[in-house]
Amino acid sequence: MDPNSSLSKRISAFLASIAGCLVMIYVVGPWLDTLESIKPLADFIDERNIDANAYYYTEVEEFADAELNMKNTMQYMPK
Amino acid sequence: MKHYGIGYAAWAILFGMIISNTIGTPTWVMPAVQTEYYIKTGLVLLGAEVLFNKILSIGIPGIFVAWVVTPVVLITTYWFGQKILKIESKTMNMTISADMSVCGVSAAIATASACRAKKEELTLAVGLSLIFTAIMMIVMPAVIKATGMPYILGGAWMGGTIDATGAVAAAGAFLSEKALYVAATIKMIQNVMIGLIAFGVAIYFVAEEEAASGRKVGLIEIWNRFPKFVIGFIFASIVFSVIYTSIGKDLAYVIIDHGAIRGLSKIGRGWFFCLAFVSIGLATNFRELKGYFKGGKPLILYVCGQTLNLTLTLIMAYIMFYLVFPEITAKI
Repeated sequence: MDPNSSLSKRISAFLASIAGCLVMIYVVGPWLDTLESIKPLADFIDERNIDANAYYYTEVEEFADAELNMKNTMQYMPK
Repeated sequence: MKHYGIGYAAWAILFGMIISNTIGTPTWVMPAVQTEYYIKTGLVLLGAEVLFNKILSIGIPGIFVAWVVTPVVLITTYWFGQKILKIESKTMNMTISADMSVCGVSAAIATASACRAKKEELTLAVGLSLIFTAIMMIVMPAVIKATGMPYILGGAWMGGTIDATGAVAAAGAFLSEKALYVAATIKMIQNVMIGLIAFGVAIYFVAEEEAASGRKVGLIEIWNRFPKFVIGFIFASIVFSVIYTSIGKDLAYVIIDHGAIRGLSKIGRGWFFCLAFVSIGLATNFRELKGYFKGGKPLILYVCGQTLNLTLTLIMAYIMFYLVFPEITAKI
């Protein structure tokens, strides 16, 4: 946005952008969750309470379980 | 939105950009917009979470899938970007290549800082990664089921290719517990690679600068130009890795994994990265950002690189898990 445009224009653009984000979060997102190809995965993530947004392995509990399981597999593998 | 792997980084950049491009970033906020400081502090804290002993979690198959395929894809994609696509910005090329081949946002942050990429280049890399993460976490489990692929192979495939760590957990668990265990372990081994990638990229770009200047400079000059936070990052990683291996695995699991890391450094690191992304958003202009996307080259680079990643990872995972080490696979 042109920094020289009027304050009312800039505030309107700000409010419109926030409204757009809210539409994405509360309308588009939930609608996408109802699609046949997405619903099973979305429901599964909710049921298991998996943090699908995590960026590093220390933020996801499933990684700790997986590591423990793999360590036990490697350590106690029958010879 | 949490179902699509769109986490705090995306929202922080988005809200920052909305403010800066509409009402404008207030002048009194500007002293707090310290992107570099937040990123580098966050990265040193991240170093404490990079525990080198994790790479042995699944034995040699995991090392080959995560530590052999990943550098090959990274270097090949970078070469492709430079020689074939002729992307002008080497730093943008490297950031996108690392973000796609290693582990998404965290790799993008570390690599962008190591090669001193511009904040717009980091924003672009993060945006591309999040879009394709959302697509891949939905499509890949469906492809694996439809093709009748064994779930262990499918898990290794997803772990080595889906960028975002949380999305790997979701997609892996959705397939099966075994797929989750393998996918999560492969991704964790890739996460640990961030430190070495950042170090290697820093060395490469400092050497590149020297070659471009045409002057032969001494080690002192190279040391002066080397991004120091990488030293802190590697040092924190080495210290915590040594402590982890020396106190025994059970005590280490409690004190380091779930104590120092999950209880302290992870929280601090998360907040510093969030502040960094807000700062990036507050200092980014939409028009400037659009300029980096010209010709669609970043998108082409990402798609071509990810195609190579998907192909090589699947081949390597099959060879390692089913031809070379079938006994490990049978016991998982």
